[in-house]
Formats: sequence, structure tokens, C-alpha cells
Amino acid sequence: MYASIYASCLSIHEPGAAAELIAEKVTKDVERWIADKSEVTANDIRRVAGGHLSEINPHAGYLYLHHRIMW
Amino acid sequence: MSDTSLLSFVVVVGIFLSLNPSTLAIFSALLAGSLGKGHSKFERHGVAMSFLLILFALYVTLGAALIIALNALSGDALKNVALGIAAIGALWGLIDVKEYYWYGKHHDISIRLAKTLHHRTVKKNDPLSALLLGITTAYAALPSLGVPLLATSTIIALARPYNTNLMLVFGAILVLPLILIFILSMRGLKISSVMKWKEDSKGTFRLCMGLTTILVSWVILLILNGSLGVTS
Repeated sequence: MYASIYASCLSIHEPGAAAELIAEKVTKDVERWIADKSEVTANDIRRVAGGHLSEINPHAGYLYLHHRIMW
Repeated sequence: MSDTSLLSFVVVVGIFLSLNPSTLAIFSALLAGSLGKGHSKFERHGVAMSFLLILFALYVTLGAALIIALNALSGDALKNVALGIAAIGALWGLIDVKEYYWYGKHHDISIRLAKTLHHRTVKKNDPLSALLLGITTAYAALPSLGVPLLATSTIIALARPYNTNLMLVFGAILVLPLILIFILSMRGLKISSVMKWKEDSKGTFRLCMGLTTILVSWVILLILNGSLGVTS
């Protein structure tokens, strides 16, 4: 997840250092969210990570959530 | 229809068909993947050029092959086949128009194809993979571009004498928006903006493609009944 968030940030021309900071923050946010859950799906993680990422950088968040839509 | 009118017609048809949501989405994902991997400008050029060149080559080759195949038919057979193509084109255009109101209902790309596209855009992002992606994209775009390409090739094939070089122009117009997106992305345009634009407008794009296909089919019928003569 860290790598995909980092890549999303780079894809919208964020510098590497900023991308690292954002990826770390979002990963920690998702870890906090997941702590009290007994079961989550990959889609839940993607949605929550995308939501946190969108709060920090809407462009990166949009890319993270929509880059798989090919139709 | 004179040679310049036919050229203008091919250009206008090409412009409307070039805004194909699936090709735009795949190319945007390829550029996003290239940036996300931290590729240098040179590497990004390599990846994008490989994709664009193979896609252009496939459009031109397929179109030219169709023109040559249609012209191999005898006069009456060509007219009957052209009539069939006009009918299919009109029906296909109506299906595309339907997408404006109910986008993506009743069909979708297969999971396997979606996985292949994701793998070649994001996971493996190099010139060779981009070449293969170009071939996969041409295949993935066939449901939306196949019939319009067939109909346009038919009009060019009906011209006397026919000119396969028009397919070079048509192919170039089809990849023109992708070239513009690439240039703008190299100048700092955020790929997320392109994706959002594509997502917000894909219904309208399909409407334009549908109406264009119907127009092309109508022109074929006008040529067949003698109302319109075509020379090139």
C-alpha cells in the first residue's frame, strides 16, 4: 500500500520527499483505522487509503482510486 | 466528394473517433505508471513513443488491409458488402448513443483483460511492455473502434481511384489526443486531471462516436445510391 500511495504521489509530479511523507502518513492512518477491525477486504483498505490520501492531496487521491478504470 | 472533401471528411471523422474513453484511460494509466516508477524524461519518452507508434501502425495496417480487401471484391459484391457495413455501422452507432444514457450497462471488459492492462500500465512499465500494451489496447478498443474503422475504410475503398494513404491521416488523427496529452504531461499537466476529464466526459465521447458512425454509414448509403460520387 505504501508503494502504491508513493507512486500515486509521484504520478502527479510531487517530489520524492513529499511523496514519502504522504505515503507514511496515509499508511499510519490506515493502520490506526484497521487496528480495531477483525476483518477487512482489500477494497475497504483501498477506499480508506484513497480517502485519507484525497484529504492530503485530492489529485493523488483521485488517481489512486480511479487508475484502474479502463472503460 | 472531391479528394480534398474526402480528406476533410476523414479528418473530421477521425477527430470524433479519437476521443475513445478506453484508449484515453489506458494511455493515462501508462503515463501515470511511468511517472510513478520515477522514470526519467528519456524513459518516459521511450514508453509513450513505443505505445503510440504501435497503436498508429496497427490502426493504419488494419485500415489499409480492409481497403485492399474490399477492393479485391467485384463491383456488385463490394456494393453488397458496403451496404451490409452501412447497416452494421448504423446499428453500432445507436448502441454507442445508448452509452450516453446508460454507460457501461450490459457489457464490460473481461477481468483477464483488465488484469493484463493493469499489469502492463502500472506493474511493468518499459518500452517493450508498452509495445505489447499497444497491441492489447488495439484489441481492447475493437468493440468501440472496430465498426467505425470498418465504415471509414469502406468510404475510402469506394472512392475511385482509392487511396490507402488516407489511412495514414486517419491513424494520425486517432492518436493525436494521446500525443497532446503526452506533451502536456511532460509540461506538468497532472494525469489525474486527464482521468477526471475522461471520467466526466466518457458518455459524451461515446455519443459523439455513435453519431459519427451513423453519419459515416449514411454517407456510405449516399455513395451506393449514386447521390454522392467519391474521387481521391
